[in-house]
Formats: sequence, structure tokens, C-alpha cells
Amino acid sequence: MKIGFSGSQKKFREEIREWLEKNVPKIPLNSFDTKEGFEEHREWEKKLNSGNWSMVTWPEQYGGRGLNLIEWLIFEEEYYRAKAPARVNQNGVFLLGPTLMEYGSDKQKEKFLSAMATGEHIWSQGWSEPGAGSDMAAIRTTAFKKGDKYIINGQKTWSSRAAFADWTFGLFRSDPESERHRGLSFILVPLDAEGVTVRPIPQLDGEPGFAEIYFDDVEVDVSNLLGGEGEGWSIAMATAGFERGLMLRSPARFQETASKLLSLYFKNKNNLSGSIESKVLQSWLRAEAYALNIYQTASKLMAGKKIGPESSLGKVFWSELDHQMHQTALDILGVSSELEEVVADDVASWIKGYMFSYSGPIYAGTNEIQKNIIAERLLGMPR
Amino acid sequence: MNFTFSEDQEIFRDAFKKYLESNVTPEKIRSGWEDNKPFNQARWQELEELGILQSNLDEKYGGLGLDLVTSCLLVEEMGYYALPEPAAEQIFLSNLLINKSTDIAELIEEKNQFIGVTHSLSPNILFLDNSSKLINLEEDSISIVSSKDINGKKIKSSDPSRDLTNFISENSDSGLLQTLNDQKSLVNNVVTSGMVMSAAILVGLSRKILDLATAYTLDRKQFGKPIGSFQAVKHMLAQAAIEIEFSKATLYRAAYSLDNDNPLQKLHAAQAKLQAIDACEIASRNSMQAHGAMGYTWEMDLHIFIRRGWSYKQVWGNKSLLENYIMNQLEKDLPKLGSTYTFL
Repeated sequence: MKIGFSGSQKKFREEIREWLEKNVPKIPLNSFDTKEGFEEHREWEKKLNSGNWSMVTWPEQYGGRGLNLIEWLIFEEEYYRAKAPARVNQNGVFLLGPTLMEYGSDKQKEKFLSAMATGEHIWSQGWSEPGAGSDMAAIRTTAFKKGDKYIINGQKTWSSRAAFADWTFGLFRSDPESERHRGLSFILVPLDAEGVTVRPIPQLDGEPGFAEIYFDDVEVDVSNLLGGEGEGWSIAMATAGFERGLMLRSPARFQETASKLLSLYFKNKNNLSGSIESKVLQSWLRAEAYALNIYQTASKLMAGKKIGPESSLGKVFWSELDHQMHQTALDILGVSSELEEVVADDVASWIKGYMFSYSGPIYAGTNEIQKNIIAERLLGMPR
Repeated sequence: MNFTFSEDQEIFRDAFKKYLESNVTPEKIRSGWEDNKPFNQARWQELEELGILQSNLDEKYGGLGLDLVTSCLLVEEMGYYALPEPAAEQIFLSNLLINKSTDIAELIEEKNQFIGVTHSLSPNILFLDNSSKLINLEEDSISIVSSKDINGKKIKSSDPSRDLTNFISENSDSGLLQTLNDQKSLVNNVVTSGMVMSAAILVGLSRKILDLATAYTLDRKQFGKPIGSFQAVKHMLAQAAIEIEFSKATLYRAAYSLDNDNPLQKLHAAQAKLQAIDACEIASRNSMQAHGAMGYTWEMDLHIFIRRGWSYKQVWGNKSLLENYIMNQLEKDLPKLGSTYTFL
């Protein structure tokens, strides 16, 4: 065991810090769930890529820097420290990207990865359907092969970023005879294809962060199949693992919130009760515990160990933590916490974050599903 | 950055686990309780022969000179099997004192015998009759006392594995061998070490408590199926598994910081202990609940582990003390404790 950063890692931290200080927009961008904000964020992705910062862990040939997971965590720490814009293409760079590198053909990697890195293709997710939420194996949207095309029919829902995105990736039933998790295929679909209708759904904050996607005889080239036909389930599970784990929700995000909460607490301390103090303290402790756990997990992965259902432990932990931190902040702000305009103490960002924190225990597999996975696959309890 | 254990560390831990599995069973613990002799002298000697007791003792004193991360792994297993003998205390408290102070090393001739250590955070003397000497830590002084001359009164712990004696203060000078002054930093160091030690025991206990519950829920049937197939039961135990998982890395980082004299070692130790306390509380509550009324009996082994947690949560830094310490540190130093400062 050797815990600490190497000289080159410290230098890397300085390098990214300097670049971000120069390049992060001084005025925060509009929300990426608005038309205008979406394009601003696309521009930001392009800018990140111009400095080779859009995905530092990707191999150099795809526009990355070939860095390891520890360096990825350092990048994230600096990114949150600099209050840089949220990643509009997170579905692409964090989820589909690693999946493509593992399961994609060379041609697919060439076509999709660099377009993803530059922000030319912004991706949405197409997993859930009206009848397939927690029970994802109940997927009914079909993609039947006809010649060199898949013909897609059905409906996806809760597709994050789909309101303005260019592409979606998801699971489709390619074998008409199949049931449950067999006979599903992982297919990439351009949202401007004929027969695709996107209906945005306003979220709790009123903005269309997700959408329904209707497919009416949509033709997609067979080259858009990722991995083998009928192998979609296991590929999707790998993607979901990235989502629950350290790629999408790296610890810096929660550590920054915890620090912000502590500052807010110390500023208002004299008027606050003991129960608030203990929640503030617990928030910091748990954000730290999450960070340490993720550094240990990254070390294990780098040493060649595999992480499977363990990512469910983290998903429950960070999503509960995020909600508790925002709840506590609102309890400190009191009557001004409802205000969506900035008056003081960064009020508006707390109420926005608070709303979003309700989604954490739901997306990427509800926490109840995660606990089933923990009980059945880690503890060996019966199904 | 390599936040993993070496192969040697894992081999040593696994070999020790194997020993504990067959030699520290609930039956053997209970027989020590019945005889009112929880400290088994033969087992103490075996722990010495295995190199456990002197694992972190400097080589110049006949020890193996291993680091405290390795010790932490060993102590976690002592927790898991509820080892009654105070080997954890020997490693994290008295060996540390010997390693760090030549004055103390000179006074302790028999380094394989148990040496008790007391402090206001753990004032009752553990296994006085089985110790040769007692080291008492004050705020900035350290006294070494000959055990046989101590006037004390036995007091009963809720954990029968803990044989405790209360100091009788008017005779506090009897048996005093030496008092060392200006020892503030060493005392602080040992207190920090005690926090890490008790955290490691709690993490080990929590793992065991959860394992007992999962095994029980596979076995016990109601409504025609194992109760472990019900989601209400699964989710309770999953929650315990989550808490345990997120206590581990914090613990190993604390042991590492202690070993490397990190300026933030006390903060790291306090974090580790608080996470471990939470993990043990949730594991204990939820596991007993999963056992139903059986869990509330003397006959079921579950309580051997749960009651050990009651003690170790409180000694060497309890919740209130640790929370106050951390909150003060944060108020003083918040800008230097953010995400970019997790490691030096």
C-alpha cells in the first residue's frame, strides 16, 4: 500500500487546474436542458476537446490522453473545484464510450468515439419503456432484421438528454420469439432518422431533461449493432456498471457539495440546532468515505481486479448522501430556501440541486433494485 | 497511488484467519465465560508463536517490524472472531509505546507478556491479572506501574470477554516504577492508535454480525420459504453491507496515516472510528432484527459479537468526542480539507 500522488500526477493536477482557470466560462452557462443551454454546453465540450480534456482516460488515438483512473479522479477534483460546466454528453463520454471501447468494432470506434469527444454527437439513453422500468428485461420495443437494416418499432421513455440530443443508445428486442433478457440487442439510433418522434418531458424543475422517444418503422443500418445480436443484456449491464460506479459519479462532486454545506453551516452556525450540526458533519464524513472507497476501487481495478455488483453499494451510498446534503442545506437556509433567484448564499443552486437529488435514488436503477442486487449477488440471499 | 494490500499482507491475514476459525469459536469463548477466565493463557502463547503479538514490534526487540496497515488487517479479524485476549491492545497500544520510547522499552523486559494501557478514554484496566505491567497515560505524562502492586476492584462489563478492574485512587502510587514527563505527543499518538484499533475491531465485528444474519435468513423458513427471500429482510441486510463497505477504506487510510506520521493522522483516525461506529450500529440493529426473537436470546451466538461492539464503540474515542474533534478541525481548516486535499 502506498497512498499518495506521484510527481507526474501532481504535475497533471497543476496542468488541468491552469487550463480550467483560463477556460471555464466566467458566467455560468444556461441549463443544458434548454435549447440554448444545450448548444452552449456542446460548445463547451468542443472546447474541452480542443485541449484534449474531453475524456482523459480514453486512448490517445480517440482524442484522449490514455491516463489511468487515479488521474481521472484528479481531473474530476479539479473540474468540480473550477465549477466547470456540467457534462452534457455524459451519456456518451462516460457510459457509451467505455462500452464502445470494450464491445465495438474498429469501424464503430472510429465513427463514434471522436464525434463523441468533440461534442458533434451528443447521446441520450434509451433503456426504460412504459412497461419496463425497474424490470428492464420486460423491454418490448422491437428491432427486427430485414436485409441490412433493423426496423425499429415501439417506445422508449425517461431518455435523459433526448429532447435535444443527436443519438440514442439502448436495448431492443431483436428476436421475436425471445423473452426476458434473452434476444435483446444493443443498438445505436440517430434521432433524426425518419419515423423517430421525440416528445420532451419537463422534469421537477420544469425543464425537459428527459423525453419519450417513439419509433415508427425506423430503419437503422445493421452496422449500428454493438456487439453480437442478442447479446445486448450483458453489454447493457456493463454500461450500467459504469453509470453506478466511479465514471459517472466520481467523488469530487459530493466532496464539493459537502465543503459548500460546511461553509454555509459555519456562516449561519449561531442560529442552528445540534441536529443540523450532526447532519453537516455526517455529510462531510460520508463524502470522504465515498472518496476513499473510490480511490481504493480504482487501485483494485488498476491491479487487474474486476468490479461487478459491488458498484451497487456505491450507488445507494452516494445518492442517499446527495439528498441528505441538499436537504440539510435547505434546512439551514430556512425561508429563503424556496427562492429560485440568487439572493444570497448561492440559494438557487441549493434548491436546484435539492430537486435533482430526488432523482439520484431512482435513476441508474432504483436503490431498491440495487439493494436486491447487493442481497442476492453479494450476500448470497435467495431470489 | 496503490491503495491495495500486498500479497504478503493478505497471506498473513488469511493464515491468521484460519487459526482463529478453529481456535476462537463461540463454544470456546463461552467456556472462558463460564470459568470466569476469558483470557486463555495457552491461546496467548499461540498468538505469540504465530508472530501476531509482536507483529509490529521493532525487530530490535524481537518483533517482526510490520506496518500498522498489516496490524489493522489482523485486528479486524480479531474483531470478526471476537478474540477475548487483548492482542489488539498489545499491538496498537503497548507495542507502539515500546517502539516509540526507549525509556519505556527498557522498563518492559518481558515484551511477550500482556501490558495494559489506560487513559481517560479507556480508564478501566483490562485483564489486570494477566498483565505484568500497566502503562497509564495522562495528558502529558506516562507512568509505568507494576501490575501485581495495583490496588483495584473488579467491575463487571456487559461483555464477559472483558475482565475489568477499577483503579483505587488513594493507592495510585503503589507499584509505580517510573513516571515520564513531557510525553504529550506520544500520548496523542497512542490515543490516535487506540481509535484506529477500536475502529478495526468494530469493522471486523460488523462483518461477522452481518454474516451471521445472512446465514440465519437462508436457514430460517416462514410462509414456506427462507426469510432471506423477502425484500424487507434483504434490504435491511443490504443497508448493513453498504455501511460496512464504506467504513473500510477510511479505516485503512487511517492506519496508513498513523504509520506514516501524517500530520492529519488524528483526523483520519477519528473519521475511521466514526464510520466504524455507524457500521456496527446498523449491522447490529438490522442483524438482530433479521434473527427475530432468536437474536434476543443468550443461546444464539449473535450477542457475543454485538456486545463486544457496545464496548469498543465507547473506548478510545466515542461518538461525541470524535464529532467534536472533527468539527473543530473543519472550522479551523476547511479550505485545506476539500476534495483536492484527500491525499498529500
